[in-house]
Amino acid sequence: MSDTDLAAIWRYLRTIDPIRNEVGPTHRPVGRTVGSFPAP
Amino acid sequence: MRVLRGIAIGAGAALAAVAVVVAMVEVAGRSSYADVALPDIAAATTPAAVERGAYLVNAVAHCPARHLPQPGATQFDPQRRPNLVGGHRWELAFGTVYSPNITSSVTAGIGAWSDGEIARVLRTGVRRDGSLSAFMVAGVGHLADNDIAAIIAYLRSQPAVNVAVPASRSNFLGRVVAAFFARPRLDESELATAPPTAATPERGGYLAHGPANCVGCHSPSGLRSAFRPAAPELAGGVPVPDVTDPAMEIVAPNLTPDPTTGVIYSWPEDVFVQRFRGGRVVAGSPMP
Repeated sequence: MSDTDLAAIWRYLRTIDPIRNEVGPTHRPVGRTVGSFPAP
Repeated sequence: MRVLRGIAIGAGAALAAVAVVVAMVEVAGRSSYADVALPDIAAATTPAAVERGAYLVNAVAHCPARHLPQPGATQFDPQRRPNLVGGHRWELAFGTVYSPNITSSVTAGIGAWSDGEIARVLRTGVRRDGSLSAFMVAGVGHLADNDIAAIIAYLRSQPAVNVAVPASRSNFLGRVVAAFFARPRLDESELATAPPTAATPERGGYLAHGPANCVGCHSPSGLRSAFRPAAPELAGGVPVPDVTDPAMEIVAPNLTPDPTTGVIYSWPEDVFVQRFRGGRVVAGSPMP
């Protein structure tokens, strides 16, 4: 992706509401459930 | 005697109920959405549009990560623009799924599809034959008409590769999901033109919800959301398998600007950009 488009995404992400949600380690053994929100 | 008769009647009723449910699943699980209207979108014709389509397919939407066989799918180089021959296989709880060949082959790819049929599967997940691709529902964001036109033009420019991909096979659970949970995307507002390329939040929001589909992995999703991103948007996803290690799974992190749990909260803009220049952090991750 171009630097311009990546910068656009970064700037958009700065505009959204902060949500507290600790997902835990992003690469982890199967079944180690972490996170505040259950799957819908 | 009366007790035995009661048991027999009860068992018969239970069997009948099960038969009705199975019949409902078998019928509804093969639903056709052929009546979903074809978008009035035609392939773009200018070289610039074809080039934009190539950029969107390879560098933004990362279609080769799904439309190439393993292991090439997780090692593709967007600059090389590989032919999207399909054949990526997933063994899932609801069946075996193969990504299709989307080269311009008339027999094995999408060469026989009309522009409207390609536009429809991109926008709603409904294939040419009226069946529904849950992968397209979940994996493709809300695209503007001009970007769909550019993508179609690029796909049509690919050389035909006449290699057929095995048909995907859903099991009974897959038909339950198809019958009661999967739905085409029919509620998106029309967007004729993508925001112009510029480092603006407007453009970033379009990319995050559209071609880059950040929301698709970085938000909760599941059966009850018909595989579409649900609230809280971009606050972290649900576990997906690590395709290189069945004992491991991957979770897309929280991208919101929360000071304690937002993974990029402390990242300056240039660090965010450089993250993507460094390539894949985890070999089996869908995140490039």
